[in-house]
Amino acid sequence: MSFKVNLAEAVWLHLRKTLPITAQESLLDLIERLGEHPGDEIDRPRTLSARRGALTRPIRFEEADAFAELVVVFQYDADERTIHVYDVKISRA
Amino acid sequence: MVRSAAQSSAPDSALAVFQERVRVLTTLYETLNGLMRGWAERAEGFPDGVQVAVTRQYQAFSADLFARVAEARRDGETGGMDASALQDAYDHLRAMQMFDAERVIASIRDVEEGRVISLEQARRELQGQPR
Repeated sequence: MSFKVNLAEAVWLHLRKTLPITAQESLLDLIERLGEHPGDEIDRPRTLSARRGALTRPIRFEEADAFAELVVVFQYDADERTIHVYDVKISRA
Repeated sequence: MVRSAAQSSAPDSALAVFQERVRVLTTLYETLNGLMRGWAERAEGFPDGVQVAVTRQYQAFSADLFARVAEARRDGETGGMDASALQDAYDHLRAMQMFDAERVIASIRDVEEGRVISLEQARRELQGQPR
């Protein structure tokens, strides 16, 4: 079962400014995977942004050598089968 | 030669000290996590500015704890001791340090007000970009 995935405009604008295009493509692939298998990724609440059920999940970001780890803050709406991505951060190892 | 009790128990002592350190750190993490969860449940009615300020406050608390967790993790690795109990705390606290509370709140407003972009739209926009 796949879920529709939306990126908030604030996140998209941020990504466009700070990430090279190839990294953006890899990131979209990873987020798409999240939409296809939300149950695999959402294993427990992450509390900082738990408001309105937002959750975060660190994801290994191996496709682009320059980046090591990805954190996606998202809200999972099972009724509407939609995942809203609120924030994305990438850290070096 | 007969070894003294203190000599023979030295490695165990180091392990016991380390295990207690891990226990304290995981307990502090769970306590902080519980406080944050409680705040998150009550936060919705507060203005954005309050939410950002409280989030930053929690980030400051968690920065201190993250530094200690990361140090213990390193010490465990170099000393050959098991620090796996710290992994959840390490992952979560690390993620917390990376959040930008203002952008998360701006993004929540985006979603509420319909300013969203689908993955398909995002891909189309990327394909139109010069490499």
